[in-house]
Amino acid sequence: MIAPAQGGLRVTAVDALAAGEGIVPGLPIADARALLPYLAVREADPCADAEALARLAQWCGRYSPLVALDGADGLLLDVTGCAHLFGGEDILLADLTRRLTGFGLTLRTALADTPAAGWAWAHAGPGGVLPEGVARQALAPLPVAALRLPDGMAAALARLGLRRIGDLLDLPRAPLTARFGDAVARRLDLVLGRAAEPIAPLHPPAPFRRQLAFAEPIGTRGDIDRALEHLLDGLLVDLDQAGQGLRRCDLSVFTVDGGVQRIGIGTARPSRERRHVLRLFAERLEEIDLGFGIEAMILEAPVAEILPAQQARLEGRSATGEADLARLVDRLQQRLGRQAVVRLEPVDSHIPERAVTLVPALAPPSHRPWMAEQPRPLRLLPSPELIEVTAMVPDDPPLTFRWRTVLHRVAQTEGPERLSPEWWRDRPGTRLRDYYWVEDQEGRRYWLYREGAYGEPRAPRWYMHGLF
Amino acid sequence: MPTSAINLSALRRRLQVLETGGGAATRSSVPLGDPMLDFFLPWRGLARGGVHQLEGVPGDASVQAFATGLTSRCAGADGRALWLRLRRDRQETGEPYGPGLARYGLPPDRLMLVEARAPSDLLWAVEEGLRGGALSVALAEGVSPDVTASRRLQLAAEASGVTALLVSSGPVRARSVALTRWRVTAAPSARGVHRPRWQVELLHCRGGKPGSWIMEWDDAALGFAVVPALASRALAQAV
Repeated sequence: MIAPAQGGLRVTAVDALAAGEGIVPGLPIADARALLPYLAVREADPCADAEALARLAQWCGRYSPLVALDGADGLLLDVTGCAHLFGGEDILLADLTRRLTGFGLTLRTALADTPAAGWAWAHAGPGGVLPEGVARQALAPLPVAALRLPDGMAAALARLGLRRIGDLLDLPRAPLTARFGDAVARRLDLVLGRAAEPIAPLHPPAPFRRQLAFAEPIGTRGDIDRALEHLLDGLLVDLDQAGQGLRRCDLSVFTVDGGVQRIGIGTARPSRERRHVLRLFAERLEEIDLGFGIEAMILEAPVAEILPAQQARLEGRSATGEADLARLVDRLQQRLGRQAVVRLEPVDSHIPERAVTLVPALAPPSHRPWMAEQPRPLRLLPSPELIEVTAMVPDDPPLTFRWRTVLHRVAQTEGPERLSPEWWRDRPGTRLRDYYWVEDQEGRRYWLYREGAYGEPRAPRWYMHGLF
Repeated sequence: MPTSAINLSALRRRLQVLETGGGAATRSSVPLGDPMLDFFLPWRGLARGGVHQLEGVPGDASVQAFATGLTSRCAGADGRALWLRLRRDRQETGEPYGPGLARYGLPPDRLMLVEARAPSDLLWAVEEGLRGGALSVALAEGVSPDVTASRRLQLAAEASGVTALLVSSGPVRARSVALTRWRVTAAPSARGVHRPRWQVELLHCRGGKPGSWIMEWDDAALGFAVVPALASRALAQAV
């Protein structure tokens, strides 16, 4: 792999064969070619690498909910409390290594008490599981670079003859800190677990989570349905015990070829209803590409809210009606989108298009009245349409108007109702509007307005705004 | 013969039940506010739990206004209404406007608006609304179901008792299993711009007769009122 760098193209990454020939990252491409004329060179693509790493991180979600990216080429998993699900730390790590190797990846893995010790053991040590409490002895022979010190500090330490971690461990801390700042002491603390190193997971762990790994990959819709039901039953038990209902629920599906697909559903009210959730999932399950089979599934409820245990049939019809409505809203939102199911709510504004706002369909009502005192149209055009108007005298209501190429002869009018701009919200220069209620000779009723007044530098314009 | 006469009358009754789509007696209905109009319809009002189609003309919101009135009557004092429409019709027919809906007695917290991108999604959403027992009425604009789809809607509405109003701004196809089909256009209002009137034609009514009226909306009683002179003529023609 090569990439443009200072002084031309340089090698950024090598495989084992090239490394054997003495080619190391940082070498100019000309030197590398001199060492190995038939060297195969590809341009590095850091973006694609990052994407691939993110996909891999998602895949690792099957081992632990806490997965973090570590640099440009590493992943950090917090498997605390997860190892027993796989039969122990050794088995977990072996399983992870075997599967990733199966994908054709070259990797180094290690499992240790702290993230820093794990990093050191994977990068500079032999890898594998570092048993609890032996980090100090095990890491002592490793080079100080394994501490992930800032640039140049390892070399500075080396000049003093401090080449191994063990050399540092025995030193008194005060002079070390005085000489190198607190970086070295801090890294040592992290490795030995004397200071905690928080990890920033890609996805915050869901409070409710169930997972299922299959001995044999499953590949039919029926199997997926059964697995989902099984997972959901477990999740609902957890939610029930916690007195919570799910608002969102995500299903992650791990295919044999290393792909992770995630589908999610949402509910308008907290829910613990098995049938309802399954129905919401049923449509989305079509989207899953089964590939060569599915080997694991995880069901999570990232968002849950308090839902007291149901009091069966005591509250009567209204409660069940509300529940029916919430289910209907969920179904509609699932297919049409969250923004597609709403209701209207009054706003304190006399500008017609601002007098109403859209709120979620099940938002509690405010019971505020509508601002308008005069009659308002049944339908409002989202953007008023320019119309051509004739009138006897400029300030008069229209005699005829042309809207959408049709000429309307006016039979009756009422108005105007003058609406001034809201100076605290409108841009300067916004013109006032004179609204007219107009009925044409066929009885069609419209709400027109004249923007601006005669005598201003800009001629007024007429718009169609609403229909009755 | 007496026995055959009895059979014949029984058959007639059965036929009438079939024709009126479940029968005037078995199907509950919602009165529209005007006794003459309600008497004219075979269900003594607008039948609940069925599909009703309404058509209008482009550039005239009369059919939407009439449908809003029907929605309000169907929803009653505490029922919920679902109003479905296509996203692409937003500018063409305008958006339902809250302050204007108020005069028809539809408070904003009992009216849910649904917007679909594709006609197929809209049909699905209407059917979904008809299936549950959560609603009183579902009003869908811009949907013109074929016979199969309208039968599905009719069956869903019958099972749940939810009333479906399908509104279109243009003529709808005549072949449909809807219980009624109406055409609504504007009529000149005699009592000022703020008292809209509509020319309402009942084109088709299962188990009933077609009719035509000039109607108004009564803001106080939240009901329809037939403008008298023409109403009597329509009834005279029909009877």
